[in-house]
Amino acid sequence: MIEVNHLTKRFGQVHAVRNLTFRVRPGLVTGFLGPNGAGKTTTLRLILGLNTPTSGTATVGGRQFRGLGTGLRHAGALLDAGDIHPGRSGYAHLWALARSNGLPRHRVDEVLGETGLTSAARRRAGTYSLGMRQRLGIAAALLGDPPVLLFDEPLNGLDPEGVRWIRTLLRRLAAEGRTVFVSSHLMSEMAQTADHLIVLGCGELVANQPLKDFAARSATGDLEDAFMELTAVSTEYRTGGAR
Amino acid sequence: MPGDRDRSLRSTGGTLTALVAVYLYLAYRGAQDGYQVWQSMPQDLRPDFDPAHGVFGGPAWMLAMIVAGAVGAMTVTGEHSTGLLRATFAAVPARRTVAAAKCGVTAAALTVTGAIIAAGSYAINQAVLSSHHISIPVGGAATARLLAATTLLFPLCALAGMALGTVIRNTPATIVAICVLFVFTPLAFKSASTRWTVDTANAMPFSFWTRLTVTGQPHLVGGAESVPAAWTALVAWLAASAIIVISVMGWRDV
Repeated sequence: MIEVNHLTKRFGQVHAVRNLTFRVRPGLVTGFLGPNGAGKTTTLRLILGLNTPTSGTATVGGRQFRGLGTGLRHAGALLDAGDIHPGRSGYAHLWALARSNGLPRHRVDEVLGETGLTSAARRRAGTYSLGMRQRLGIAAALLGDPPVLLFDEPLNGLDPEGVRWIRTLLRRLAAEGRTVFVSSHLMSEMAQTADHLIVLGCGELVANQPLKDFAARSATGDLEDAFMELTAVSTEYRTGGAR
Repeated sequence: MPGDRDRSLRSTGGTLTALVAVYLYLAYRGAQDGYQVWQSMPQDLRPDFDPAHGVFGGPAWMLAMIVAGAVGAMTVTGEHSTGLLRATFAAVPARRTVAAAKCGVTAAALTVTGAIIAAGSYAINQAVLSSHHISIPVGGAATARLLAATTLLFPLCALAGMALGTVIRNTPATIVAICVLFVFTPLAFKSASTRWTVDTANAMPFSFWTRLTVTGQPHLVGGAESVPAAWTALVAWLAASAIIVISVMGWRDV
């Protein structure tokens, strides 16, 4: 369970997120949607304690994440696939993270197997393709077998097989009773994967409801149409005339 | 874990090994220069000869200080630039623990490096001078001070580099700041003559380390500080650097 209460983050004069309140429940895949610059990544960072909120709170499993000694056991996160040292092998990266949380070596082999990286594990991470880095980031998120998982755009750079793999993985993690919170721009993927949606526009919560109800907001019953209609007024960056 | 970072990135170990090799060679050259100085000294001045001066002292040590500072800075700025620091803090959200461990591992590695360079340079100096039948007083407070100060110079520079890297977060700008503190300030301010500029110069690592390595009967000039003042400055730099790293890393957004 992730609980966010009146969460606000200001960078100077800019409100990145404003007075957000929502819960992400276990056993479901919750999609986190919003146009570019809506504050999705900032919200995920606030939940993980990487950024300090200006006001409000965010908790994971009822506890503030900042200050925990073994974060990987409470929540696994893929924020940016590039958050690795390029000179280190995938295996060394995961083993260092595992050791920091007192996790056994066999967990590294297990998550490498699960993400299909076993044969590339000894190569320097700097040589990985974007898709392989995404898999490495997901492997790191799964390392501590956590009850809560956060993924920021996990489909970036993945091939069709990888996209299908993620879809199956997210469904399975939710079916195991975990809290799964996934941001994405790919509406068709979210339509197939998510049970519930939380939608941001310009840093504010604009929708928090089951996927079916959200899609029903549009006359066509299509998720993408519903999303475009809802965020039309709150989109910060839009190409000319593309309404 | 910070230790794993250093083990799985061999470049840090390679840099420190190269540093040891270069400075042991420079010690050999410095000892020979020291002998030349002794030879050219008038007989009546020879009792004032500082046998350690040829090896321990001089601007060549500034390069070692910059390298140690850069190694320390890279443990922080490298993780900022790659984003690895986010992965680290997501894995271990108790940031002060991470920061303290980073300081501990870096200080330990550089203390070992410093101890090898200090003891090795001392032994080489002694071997060269005694081959020319110049006796060096072995042991004693001055020798212990020389060895301790030189050993501690390395972790001090590394922690100061870490502190600058933590505040600045950008590698090139941090290296510039290291050069300003380790090289420019002690040299530029020492040559000025007002009280506060001399005090500022004396508070810089190169100045107080130089003061602590004096073992003979030198004629100190230019407002040199006392030995206790030099020790105080050394301890203050170590403590302030660690406090800056742990506190700033503890709260800042990454």
